[in-house]
Amino acid sequence: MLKFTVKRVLSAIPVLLVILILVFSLMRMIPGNPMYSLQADSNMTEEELIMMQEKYGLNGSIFEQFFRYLKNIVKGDWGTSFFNGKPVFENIFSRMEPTILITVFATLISLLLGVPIGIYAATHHNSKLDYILSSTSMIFTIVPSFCFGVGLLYLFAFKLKWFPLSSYEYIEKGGFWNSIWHIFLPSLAIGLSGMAGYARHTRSQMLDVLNSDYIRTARAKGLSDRKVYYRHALRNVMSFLITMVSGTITVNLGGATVLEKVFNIQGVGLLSYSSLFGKDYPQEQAILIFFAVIFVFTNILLDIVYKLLDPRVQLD
Amino acid sequence: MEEKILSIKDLNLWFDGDYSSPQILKNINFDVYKGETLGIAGESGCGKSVTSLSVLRLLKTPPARIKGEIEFNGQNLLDLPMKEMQGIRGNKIAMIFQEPMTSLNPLFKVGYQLEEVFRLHQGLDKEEAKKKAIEMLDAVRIPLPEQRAKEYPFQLSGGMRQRVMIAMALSCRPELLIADEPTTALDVTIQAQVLDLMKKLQKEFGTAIMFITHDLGVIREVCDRVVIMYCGEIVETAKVEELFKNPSHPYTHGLLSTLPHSGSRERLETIPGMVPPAGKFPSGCVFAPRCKHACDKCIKNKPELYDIGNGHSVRCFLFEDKEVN
Repeated sequence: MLKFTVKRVLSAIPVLLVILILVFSLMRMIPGNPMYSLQADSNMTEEELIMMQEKYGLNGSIFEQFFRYLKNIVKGDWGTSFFNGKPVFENIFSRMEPTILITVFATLISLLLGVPIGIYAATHHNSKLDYILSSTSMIFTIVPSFCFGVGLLYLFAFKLKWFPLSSYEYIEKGGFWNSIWHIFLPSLAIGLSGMAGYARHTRSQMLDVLNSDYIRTARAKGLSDRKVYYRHALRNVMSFLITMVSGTITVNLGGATVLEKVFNIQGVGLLSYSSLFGKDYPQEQAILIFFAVIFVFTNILLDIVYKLLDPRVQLD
Repeated sequence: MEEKILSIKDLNLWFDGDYSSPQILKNINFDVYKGETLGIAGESGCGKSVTSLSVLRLLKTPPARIKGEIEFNGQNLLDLPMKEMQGIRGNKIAMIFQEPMTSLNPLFKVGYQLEEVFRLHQGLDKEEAKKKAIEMLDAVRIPLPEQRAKEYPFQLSGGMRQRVMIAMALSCRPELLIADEPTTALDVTIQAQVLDLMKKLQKEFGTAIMFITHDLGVIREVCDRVVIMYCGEIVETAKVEELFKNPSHPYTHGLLSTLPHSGSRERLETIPGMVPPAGKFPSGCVFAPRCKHACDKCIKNKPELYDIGNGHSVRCFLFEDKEVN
C-alpha cells in the first residue's frame, strides 16, 4: 500500500509538470498584458514599467520566463499575486474552505440521493415509478447547475429567506453547521445535477449485476430479495461508483467556481475567476495546480478504497 | 414403487414478449424418485435449463408465464408464497450451474458464501457456520479447506469453484439437487473428477439428482433414468440401460450417433438441420423436419407419448402400435 502510494505520487509529478506548461502558455495566449492595466492606472514611466516587469518576472522571452518560474518553484517560491502582493498559496489556503466544503457536500448529495434512486429504479425495473424517475433525472442532467443555483437562490434565499442570500462564514467564526447552512444552496444546485447521473448509472449497472450468474446463485441459495440486492448486488455496483466519484469531484470543483460567482462566496473558485480575467498569472497558475493536486490525491485515495472493495484489484 | 419426491405435471411455459409469446415448454410430465439420478438430455434450446429453473422458480415472471404443477413432497411449489419458496431453495432443493467461473460472487470470500447458507437455513451463528463451511469444503475434497475458505473465487480454478458450488448446494443435505450442465465448462479430466464426486456424495447424502446435460455419455455414466427433450417436449423417457440398448425415437438415435466410439476412426455423424427457434416449433411431430422417417402424418399430427413397456415411452408414430395396455 505504501509502495503504491509513493509510486502514484511520484508518477503524478510529470503530469503536474505538463499541466504547469499548459497553464503557463494558455495564460499568456489570452490577449492583453497584466502590465497594461498597471500602466493605465498610474502614469508610469518606461523605466518604471521595466522595473515592474522584472519584479513580476515578466521580462525576457516566454521560455526564459518559464524556466525562471520553474526554478523558483523548485526553491519553493510559487510567486506572489499581482494584485495583493501576498504569496499565491497564502491566498488559496485562506479561501479554500468554502470551495472544499461545497465540492464535498455536493458530491455527497449526488451520491446519497442518486444511488438509492438508481437502486429503486433497478429493483422495480419497468414500473411506473421507474419511468417517472428516469425521465425526471433526464431534466436534472440537461439543466446546468448554475440555473438551479439562481432558482434556488431566488426561491429559498430571497423569497422564503430560509438561507442566507450571499457571503460565507468560516467555520472558525460560526461553527461547522453554520458554514454548511451558508453553502447548502450552491451545493444542492451542483448535487442535483450530479444526482441524475448517479441515478442513471446506478440503475443500469444494478440491472446488469442483477442479471449475472452469481445473483442467480444467491437466489438459488434461498436469500431474500433484500439480501440479494443490498448484500450481493450493491457491493458489485459500488466499485463502479467509486470510479464515478473521481470524475464527479473534478466536475464539482468546476461547478463550485461558477456557483461561487452566483452566490458571491469568496472561495478559491471566485479567486480563480477574478485571477483569470485580471491576468494574475502566478495566482491562476497556482490555483490550477492546486486543483490538479487535489484531483491526483483523491484519485489515489479512491484507488485504495477500490482495492478494499474489490479483492481482484492489484495495486502494484 | 419408490417414493416420488418431485412430480412435474403438465408443465407449460411461455415467454411473453411485446409482439408474441412463444411457448417454450409443452405438457412436460415427469417424476423424480428418492435417491435416484434422473438425466434430462437434449440439444441447446430444447428447454432443459428452463425446466430446471422453473422448479426453483428462478425464472422472472413476467416475462415467463408458467402453467401446471410442480409438486415437491406433495406440495405445489408454484402456489407457495415467495417467503416459503426461499425456505426451500438451497435447503430442500439446491442447484448447481453450468458456469463455475461466474456463479460465485467475486467480491466475497468462498467461506463466507458457504456460511451464508448455514446461517440462513440452520440459524447457526458465525463461528458454527464457519466450522460447517470448512467441513463442507473438506467433503468435496478441497485440499487445505481452512485456507481456501479465506480465499476469493478468482483465486480458485474452474474445477475448484464447481466443487465449492457443489459444497454450497449440498450444505443442507437437500432432498433434490438440480445440476444444470455442471461439467460442461470443465476440462475432461476435471469433469470425470466432479462426476465421481457427485456420485459419491449422492450415496453419502441420499440426495436425488436431476442432471441436465447435452452429453449422453455423461448420462450413461451417472443416471438411472433419462428424459430426452426436444423443442420443449419430452420425446422419449426410459431407464438408462434400456435407452442405450433399445433407443427408439429417431432423435435419440441421432443423439447417440453423435457419441464418439473409442478406437473408431470414422467421422462422427451429425443430426441434419438445427433446433428451430422458440415460437417456430413445428405443429405436428416437432422432430419431423429433421427426421428421415417422417411422413405426411408426422407433419400434420402430433404423436402422443406411447408407453412401450418397461418404463419406456416414446413420442413417435413408429411406436403407435407397439403401445402396451
